[in-house]
Amino acid sequence: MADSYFPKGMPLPQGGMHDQEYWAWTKRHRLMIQRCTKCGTFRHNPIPHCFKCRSLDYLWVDQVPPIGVVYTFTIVRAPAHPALVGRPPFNVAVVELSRAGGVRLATNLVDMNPNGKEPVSQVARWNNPAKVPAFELDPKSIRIGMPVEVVWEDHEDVTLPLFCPSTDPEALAAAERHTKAAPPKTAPPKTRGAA
Amino acid sequence: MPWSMRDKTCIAGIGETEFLPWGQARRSEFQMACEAIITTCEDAGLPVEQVDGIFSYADDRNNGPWIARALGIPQLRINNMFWGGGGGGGSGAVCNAMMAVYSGVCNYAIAFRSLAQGQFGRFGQSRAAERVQGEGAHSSPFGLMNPVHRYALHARRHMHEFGTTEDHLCNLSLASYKHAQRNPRAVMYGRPITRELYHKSRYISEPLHLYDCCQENDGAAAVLVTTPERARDLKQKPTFLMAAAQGTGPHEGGYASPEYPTSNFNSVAKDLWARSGIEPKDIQVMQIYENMTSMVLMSIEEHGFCKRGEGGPFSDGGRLEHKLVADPGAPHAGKLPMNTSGGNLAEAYIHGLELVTEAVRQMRGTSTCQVEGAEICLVASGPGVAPVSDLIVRR
Repeated sequence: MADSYFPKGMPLPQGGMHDQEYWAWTKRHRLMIQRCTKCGTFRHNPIPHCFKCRSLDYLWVDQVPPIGVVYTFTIVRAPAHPALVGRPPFNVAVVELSRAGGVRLATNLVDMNPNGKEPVSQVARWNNPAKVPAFELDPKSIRIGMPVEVVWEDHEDVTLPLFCPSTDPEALAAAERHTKAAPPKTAPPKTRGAA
Repeated sequence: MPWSMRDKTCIAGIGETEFLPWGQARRSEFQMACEAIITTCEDAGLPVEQVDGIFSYADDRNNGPWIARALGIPQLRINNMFWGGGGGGGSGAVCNAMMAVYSGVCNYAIAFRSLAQGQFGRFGQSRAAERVQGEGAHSSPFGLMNPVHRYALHARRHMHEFGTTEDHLCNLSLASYKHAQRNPRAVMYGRPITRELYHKSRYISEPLHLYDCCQENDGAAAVLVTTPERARDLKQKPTFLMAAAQGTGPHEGGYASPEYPTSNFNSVAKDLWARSGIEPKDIQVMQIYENMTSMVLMSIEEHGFCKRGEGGPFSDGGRLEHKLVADPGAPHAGKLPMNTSGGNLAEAYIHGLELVTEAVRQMRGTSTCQVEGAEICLVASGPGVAPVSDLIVRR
């Protein structure tokens, strides 16, 4: 267990004109995705125009519950940044959000329930601003199509949306739909050694 | 879209510096750029001062006016950079040179790339600052920091959807490494790999192994583009530029593209074939830019050599290896040799411009892995970025 998934010194987001509201929302533990008010198309990363209808009008749609499905992932074994030297292999995942027209975002997967012993209530996880400990997720347990939900990783002035395996009924249903639409053609990836 | 430039321009000269592992160049990146250009003019038999157009890509640091000054070029008529896409712009820089020559903006155009990763930072390392803005704010904080991570995500999804395996990716790596063993200029010359060694090699970003990744190098390469009429007065038999294309499909950079996972060649390759008037079956040899082998596979698929998702099995049986290097009895040996100099993986990563010079050698009949009777060669530049570009040359 650590304060954050990565050691200190890793880059953190700095909101710009297009996404400062997005990061202001994550700071308040709300996953908000842009949706065009004219044609209803969701989009991410935040941009000013709808790519479908060119409208500038949009709303931030609250992801409640903030759930999704692992669309793809990698286990990074060669550190590429000075802050990562010595950190064990880590995962990067792309999660497809179930309640936002299938938009996808890059994130890390963590374990909130190691050994299956201490289930953390979902309500606490999504709404309680108090820090909830996150653990390394066994890379061998990661699958495309896995149901996941948001975990908030607070830094001093910014909060990152990470994800953990979910048992939320809606997430399970989304995972089932995903697997039906794209059933795996390969055996689960072999992973050499634990992270 | 009508295409009037078929065979109206040609490559009349090629030049390269020696290729080295990153950090080993004893001279500056700028000097290497100039050397490659001088060598190109010598190859063509053209006085350097007649060069009047300079083209590059990937934000090459060595700009045209500095080069013109250093080389005593009296009149530079066009100084042009292919905008964005990194290594995706190699063929695009040549395409822009073609357009300038064909339209009369300049007479003798150099397209070049010089890259000293030892002097300016390695592509495989991130120098992201403590705070990142824009697109980077949504990737770097999650450890998604360099190309291998991004392409590993594509690779994993391709495996999931189509059953592609690491053994398929190994086919692509082996083809390049085998070809490099015949090429003394290749950095991996004398360092062959086997299927066993590939599978034993460490993962960089799963499912991509060390041997799935391009090298990081120091070196430069250049080509001279002019009209066939002008080439008649030069030394080399011209290599004709049949067609070139550049651009991007939808949503590059995001993960929500309806085409993901993709090399981003779907629309560009369609333009290329339409302009060339030929089809994939007419290609006898090809140079396909490798950032990672998985992207090569998607580039091959999206260029129409096989259906989407079938790139893995397509690469089996030695199909992409020259007969000279394929395993005895390989059922498809030599059918479509790829990266005959060793490519970005095993010759050198000069950001893919060394693939254009190899295509020209194939057309001249001077490759170290010469494909007998090859009359046409495809070059596909960096996949998975935006914009991407590709071209077709003929003898």
